[in-house]
Amino acid sequence: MPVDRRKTAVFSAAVLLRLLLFFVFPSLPDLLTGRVEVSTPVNSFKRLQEGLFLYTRNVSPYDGGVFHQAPLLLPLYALLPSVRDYRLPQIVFYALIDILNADALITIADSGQSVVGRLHSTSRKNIRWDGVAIAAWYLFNPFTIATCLGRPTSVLTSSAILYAVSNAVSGNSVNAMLALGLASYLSLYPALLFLPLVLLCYDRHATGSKVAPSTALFGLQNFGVFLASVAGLLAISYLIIGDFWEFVSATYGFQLLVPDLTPNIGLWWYFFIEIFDSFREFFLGVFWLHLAGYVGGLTVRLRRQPLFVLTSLLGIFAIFKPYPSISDISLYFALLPLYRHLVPLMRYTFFAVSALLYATVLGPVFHHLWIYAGSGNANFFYAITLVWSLGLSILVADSMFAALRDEWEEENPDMRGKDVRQI
Amino acid sequence: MATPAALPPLPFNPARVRSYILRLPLFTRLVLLAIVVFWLLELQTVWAVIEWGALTPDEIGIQSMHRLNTYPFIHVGFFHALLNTVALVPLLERFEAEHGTLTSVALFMGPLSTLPGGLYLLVEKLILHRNTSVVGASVWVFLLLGSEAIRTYKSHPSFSLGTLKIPTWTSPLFACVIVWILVPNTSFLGHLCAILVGYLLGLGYLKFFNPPEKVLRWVEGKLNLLGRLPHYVSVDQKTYGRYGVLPSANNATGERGSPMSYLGSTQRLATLRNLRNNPQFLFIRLPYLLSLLCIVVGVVWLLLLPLDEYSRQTYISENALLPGQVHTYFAGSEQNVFRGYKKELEGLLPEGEARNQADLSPVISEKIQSALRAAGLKVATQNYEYTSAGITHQGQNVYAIVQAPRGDATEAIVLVATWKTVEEELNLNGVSLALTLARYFKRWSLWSKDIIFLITPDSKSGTQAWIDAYHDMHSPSVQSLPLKSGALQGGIVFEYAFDHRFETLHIIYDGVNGQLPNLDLFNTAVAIAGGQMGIGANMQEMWNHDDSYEMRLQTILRGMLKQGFGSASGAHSSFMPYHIDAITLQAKGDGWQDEMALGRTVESLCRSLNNLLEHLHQSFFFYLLMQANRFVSIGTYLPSAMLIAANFTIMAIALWLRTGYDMESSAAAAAVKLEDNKKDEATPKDKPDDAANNKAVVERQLALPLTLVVGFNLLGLAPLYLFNNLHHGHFTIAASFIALVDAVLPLSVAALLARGSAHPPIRQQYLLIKSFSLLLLGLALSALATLNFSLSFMVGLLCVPLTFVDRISCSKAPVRIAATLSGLLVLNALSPPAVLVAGCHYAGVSVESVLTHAAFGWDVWGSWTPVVVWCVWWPAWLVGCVLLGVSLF
Amino acid sequence: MTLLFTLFLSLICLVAASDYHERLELQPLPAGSLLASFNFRSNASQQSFDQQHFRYFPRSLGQILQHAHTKELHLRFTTGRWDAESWGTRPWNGTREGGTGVELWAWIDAANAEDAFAHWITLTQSLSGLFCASLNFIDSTRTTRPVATFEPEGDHHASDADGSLPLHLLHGTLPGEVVCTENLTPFLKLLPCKGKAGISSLFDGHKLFDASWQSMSVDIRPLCPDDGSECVVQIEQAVDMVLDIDRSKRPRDNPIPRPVPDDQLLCDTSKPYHSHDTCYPLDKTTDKSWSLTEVFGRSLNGVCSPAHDADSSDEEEEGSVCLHVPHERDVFISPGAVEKKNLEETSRCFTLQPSGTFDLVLSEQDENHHRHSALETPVLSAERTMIGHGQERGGMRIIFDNPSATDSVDFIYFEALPWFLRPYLHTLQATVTGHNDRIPRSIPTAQIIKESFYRPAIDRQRGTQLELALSVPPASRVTLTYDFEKAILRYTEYPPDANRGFNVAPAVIKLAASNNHAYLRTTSLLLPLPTPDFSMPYNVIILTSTVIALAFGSIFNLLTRRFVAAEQAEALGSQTLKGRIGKGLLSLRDRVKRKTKTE
Repeated sequence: MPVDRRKTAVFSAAVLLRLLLFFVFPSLPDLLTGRVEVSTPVNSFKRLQEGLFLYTRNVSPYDGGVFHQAPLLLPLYALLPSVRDYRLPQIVFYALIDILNADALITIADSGQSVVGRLHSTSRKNIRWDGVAIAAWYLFNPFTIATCLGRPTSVLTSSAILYAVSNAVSGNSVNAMLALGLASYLSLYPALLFLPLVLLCYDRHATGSKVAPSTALFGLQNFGVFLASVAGLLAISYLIIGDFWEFVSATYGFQLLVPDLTPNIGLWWYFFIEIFDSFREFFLGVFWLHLAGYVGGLTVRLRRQPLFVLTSLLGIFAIFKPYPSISDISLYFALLPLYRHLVPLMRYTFFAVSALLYATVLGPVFHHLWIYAGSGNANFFYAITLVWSLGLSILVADSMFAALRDEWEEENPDMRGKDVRQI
Repeated sequence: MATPAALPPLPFNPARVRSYILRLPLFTRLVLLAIVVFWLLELQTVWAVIEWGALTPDEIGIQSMHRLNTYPFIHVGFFHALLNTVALVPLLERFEAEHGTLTSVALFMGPLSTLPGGLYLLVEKLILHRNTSVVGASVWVFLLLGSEAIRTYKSHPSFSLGTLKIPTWTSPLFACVIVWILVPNTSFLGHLCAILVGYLLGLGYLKFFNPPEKVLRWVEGKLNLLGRLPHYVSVDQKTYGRYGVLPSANNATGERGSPMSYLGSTQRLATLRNLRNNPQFLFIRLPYLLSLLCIVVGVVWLLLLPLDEYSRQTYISENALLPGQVHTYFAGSEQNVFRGYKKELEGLLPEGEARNQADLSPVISEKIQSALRAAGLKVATQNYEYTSAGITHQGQNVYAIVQAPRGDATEAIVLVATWKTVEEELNLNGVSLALTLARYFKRWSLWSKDIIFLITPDSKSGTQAWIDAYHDMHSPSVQSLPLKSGALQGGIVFEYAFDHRFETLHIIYDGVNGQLPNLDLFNTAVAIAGGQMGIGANMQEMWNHDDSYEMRLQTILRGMLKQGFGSASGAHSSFMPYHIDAITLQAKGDGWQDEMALGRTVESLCRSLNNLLEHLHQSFFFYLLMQANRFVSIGTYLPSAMLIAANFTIMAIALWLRTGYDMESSAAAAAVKLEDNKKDEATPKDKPDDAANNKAVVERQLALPLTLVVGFNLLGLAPLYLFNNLHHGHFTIAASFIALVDAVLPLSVAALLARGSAHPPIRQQYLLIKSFSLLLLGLALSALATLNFSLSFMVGLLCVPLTFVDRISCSKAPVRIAATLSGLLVLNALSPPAVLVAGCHYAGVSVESVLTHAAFGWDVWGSWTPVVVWCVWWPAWLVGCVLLGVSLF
Repeated sequence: MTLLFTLFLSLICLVAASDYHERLELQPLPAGSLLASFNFRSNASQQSFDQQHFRYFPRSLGQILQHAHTKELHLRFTTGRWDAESWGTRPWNGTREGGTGVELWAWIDAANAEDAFAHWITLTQSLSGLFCASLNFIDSTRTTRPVATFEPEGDHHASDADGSLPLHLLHGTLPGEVVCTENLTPFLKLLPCKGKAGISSLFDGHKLFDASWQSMSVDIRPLCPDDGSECVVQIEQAVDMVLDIDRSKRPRDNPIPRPVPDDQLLCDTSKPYHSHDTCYPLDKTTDKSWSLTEVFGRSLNGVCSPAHDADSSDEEEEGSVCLHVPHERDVFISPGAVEKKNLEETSRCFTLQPSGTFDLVLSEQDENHHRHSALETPVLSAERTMIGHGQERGGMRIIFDNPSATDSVDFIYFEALPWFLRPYLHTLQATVTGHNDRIPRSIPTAQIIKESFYRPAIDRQRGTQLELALSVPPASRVTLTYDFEKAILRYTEYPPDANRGFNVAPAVIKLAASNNHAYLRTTSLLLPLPTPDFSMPYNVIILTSTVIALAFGSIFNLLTRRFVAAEQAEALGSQTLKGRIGKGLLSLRDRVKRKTKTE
């Protein structure tokens, strides 16, 4: 089977590349772990190690300001050999996770949900890449590689999300809900993806079965599953960590209230450094509302392509999360190539891409000027985060325009290639 | 996407705005006038206009009915008035245009101000039992908005958010709420009343207030208002107005139109839209012009900097420094001690010629330690060893700490005396001066920071080893420090390399990788040397600097050259990467200043640094000095480098767009489509458009260009590794080898491209190759400009030809080949190795020594100039050569 | 210098004999410095204390203690660093000194930790008023509850017997506090003679705070003698300082150390090149002469004996001023004072006249044929420094050096870190370097660290508390290192001098009981944090909101609009409000155009 050979080739090449990097530059993983672009307070590998250290010594890791990650990670990572002695297993572990994600991506891509759904089928069906190409995009994306070597725990969230989606497109909605439950348990924000995901499941389900079940019932069932999975995970972590409220406030409370303002590529940190104390809570509310606000609008307007809603939402979260890191970006860039057929319709890709390129190059430079050389101040890095977010939001919005336009052309095919306007 | 076309064009056209203002009808003008008059009236204090005219529920009596009509004209403050006016005028003007002046007067003087007012009074007084007084024309604004909304509703019932539809008549309510939230102390209730009345008006329930037509006609006829009053809108003109579609409207909107077309509009610069119809100019000539312009402007900009208009006088912004405010006591019998130390050290030196080459031998080191110990300091030593390009540099640092009498080791100042100066001369006076100063400083009790005296065997590696070990970042071949103090606040290196008296102080300030010390430190040194001690201060070896333009420019250029090389310029340079500001003071010339003067300068500098409360952070870290007391700050000079970098980016973008439009490439794309089925589907989209207009979007063939460019950039690692790991003996051969590679490699790659494969790359791909390579170059250079301006500027200048070289597609072979060959010659003359050799020849140094120095910088100082040369400049150059070389085949 | 310490123990033993003692110990140190340690001690019987019936015990302090339920209190004001290398072990074995700045620890009886903390806050507030020190800045982030580092000096066995509340130990430091005369004055006010008479009359702010190292301490502890007599509350105040003799002999009006005239310059005349203008300085080999009045700028007048009743007996048997110099060195004292040499030790004490001034003069003497009463090298030397650079992360390096060739040193290492310094304890590493072979060997920390207590910080609530029980093998130097991260704060949380850095309190080291409770402290550290731009909150708020608004606006703009072909757009466009306004204005233009044409 030629496809399988390609697949294996791509996968092995990806793993080899990672191992090669690890062996050629042994200090690279720790360097990347220290970068603010890779590690944030909620996914840093170093903080995880600290939490692990305390956990294995029976000190509650949540009774302190360092560790804010989900409790189940502790026993999981306790199984791996300590990073002090051997670092190779960690790298292999993360490389394998990347491979799993790529595999899920292949499933998603080959299901063709991105081009032909239940309510929508684009007129450009055959401008698309096959699964392996998309997996290659994902595996050889420098952001993905950096994430893999930097070993943040958000990679697990990404793979949970990808598995939720791949299960959804392949029709077993229960698994999808369980996976989404895991994702939201790990880092809260994926819970916002529930709506589009359940719609995706529903479409898949409806196409499968002769008579379409009632949407509400279906949604409720899945919501039940979702809640059950989250509750189950919380219960297990309660068994691991004695004090329930302690770890809940140290993990989810931390993500909601953003007390740690360590710089990252997002927009929140500098804003909440500079905001006046009396307005802090208000703006916290506003920012979270803004983040959640996209879900409704997108889901309603793009009802016919829930998978695209998922993709765009992931992009939006990667911009406006409290603690975004490039692992979120790599997740978005993993799903974006599914919409290869939209590229001809997009208008600003080149500018978005060059803005991202500039931000990628200038970000570390300005961070160095601020933190190490001391010759620049915080505004340098802050400006770059602005550019980065702007470039990304242009990309997201532009892809959305393309998708809408695509829908519209499907309705009235005679309009293809005509000038259009929006009113 | 909010595109420019979505916005009404008027606000952007001042001329139109002006004509619009000039044509406001009568009643609108009157209202405006009234508002302005009332606002002016408020300025006086005798008569409280607002109390008089505001709509205050409790004040409303039978004799204060006027309030019901006056309140719209009165505003609190200028901005209230301004905002309301701006909002009111268009609406009111249209109302009047439709209903005529008389009707407007009748309505607005009557019901349209009293009704909302009355409504408001009722609710406010009788229901809410409050007493908030309201003023302002915003009531009319909302009233008119309300009626507008009703009209819109009739034509266009709802706008849809996804599936759910929101009726349009609610829009004023939204507006009202938003205004209520955003603008402080606006009366929500008042606006609401206004909107209600507006709805009534819009629904036509208030028609009965309109004065009957014939009455109006009669009045007009009698008084001949139309003739008398300017800008009067008569009853008959009412026919103009809302739905009368004017002939001009269509093409007006037409010329605004069609930005949304996606065909051929991929990545279009909005500003270029108007030039669309001439792609030949737009995508082929214009970019070259722009790039050329950028380069010229960039260079001219740099040449302008020395002028007084662009440069600034230096000043001290950290007030704690207080340069030269203290009296210095380092004199008198200290000189005897100095001579004592000097003689003692001299005794240990070999006689005759060898004296000036004498290294810091263990015996001397012992003597220095004992002297410092006797002075009551804590003394320690550090051995280090570096190996670079097969040469081993090793030595022993001696350092001693004067502990701040009442401090605890939190902060410290470093004084460095190198045994060998930057010019490899014997710095005997400097070292003896350090000993004397140590003994002298020990007696003072005013130090708030520890003072560290560091004596290094040489100016290249000693301080580097010490400072690395101080922060525990040292390599295993370097000993760690047995004795430490607190955070270093500043460093001063002093050199006095001859026996006669000196004339001026030469200040060296550049650090590794072009990093500079805080300008305050330099200014303090200049101020103390010049102002307090009466010693002149020079820099960049400008010995006789008359304040002329040439001299200034020369100083700047020398500084840029030094900065651009990014290697250490003295013992102080090693401090810079650790964010420790340091400078070197060199005694130069033959004058009447003696070593004690240098000592006093150092003492005064120490006192200034001792005053510091915070780490130096106030003043500039990026600057170009053109004289001891003139400088240009980054904001002024950065554009020149950025423009140079921008020219590459512009070219890259232009090429990308061009590949999107290319005439011939559409045919080529058609050809390509046959080959790979992946692109196949682009055809149905493109075919009709090719027929319609040949500005077709063709799918871009990204694979080959990307691989080529990335491959060349990776190739740069090879020479980088080569030059940093060879033995210094082979450097000259290696350089010539690289030169050979430069000559051969591009041509072979070009041949491979043109002849090698079954179907040679199409034109578009060549353009893409150039685009990507230039994009990378521009990216790297603009990022570099913020780190090391000079390096970025120099590399940018050397890369300028790459913007303009391209595959020469001339039909006549001999011409083409001749042009290509000459072009290749030019390029090869500007290749990295060629430039290196030429530079060495000009400066009269051997290539080997330069490369050895570079390797040392890479190994010890961590300077990354080589990376820029081999991984930024070289790949771009190679790509340029390949593109040119292709035209040979 | 342990003799000071044993002496101090003995003094504790014979409490209740007298109500007030004062004592001055003078010891010349090498390199022309002089250690002067003052000690004042008075006590009140427990029930008189409870009845607020104070005689020598300062009333102000007593009331504060009762109000804050404080049973035992230790307060330290310290500046400078003790140079163990040249001065030997610390006075009182370091039990009477604190880290740089102000250090305070107390045993408070309260039902639970919360009450204890509330009492603690009241205590710090009132003490800051009493001593003019900013003790009130000791908040929850600067307060720790050490487990093993401090032990009560007094006898609290009574407290749990009558079922009263349990005792809580709280500890707080202010490393940034600058100690100066405004702290000395209230300190003197606590003394019975208020610095008018007795040895306290020697205190002069200028001299005291010109010392190379100086420490003031207040200790209050309940003591219950073993013979079952009633308990007393004892207050002990001590001032230790190391004076640079040259510096303090300089006259007040001319303190500047100008270069000495050429003739007074002492040179090494043996050098061949020695001449009138060339001089290799000779390091001083003699103890220079000094007298009390020269060094302290004042003379000691009289004796402070507020108790004129007869029980000031023991002051006869050992005088109130003691001098530690070898007996062969001759000392001149003002008439009337009685000198008493004790034979076994190289010290002598003087009993003063109740009235009249007292002065003592040491003649200059050659240092060679007597070394000082041989400096005992300290049992352990510790150094703590920060490594790495940049404002993002760094590392802490603590070096313990055990000079003794035979026996290992056990001790407890205690450090309290501010919350914005986030240590990563899993990076804690230990290396041992033998004195004979200088090769550092990395070893598992468990070999060095016997047990450890770690309480991680919580942002803006409490600081890190780390207590390690360590043991350093003989003749070796142990290096502990761990990484930490520097948090970035909200811009309102920075002090005005944000770019100076933040002070990190010194670490406390308590040597095990085998070395009779010696304490030593490292120097404090300066921690530079990343700083935001303080000048632009508005710009940041505006810019960030703009970016968010752009994204939000463009996306929802897309979602709420519908597509139409360009030509239909014209017709439809005329219906929208915007279209109409535009069109109305256009029509206006044309109308006026026409008008102008007609005219």
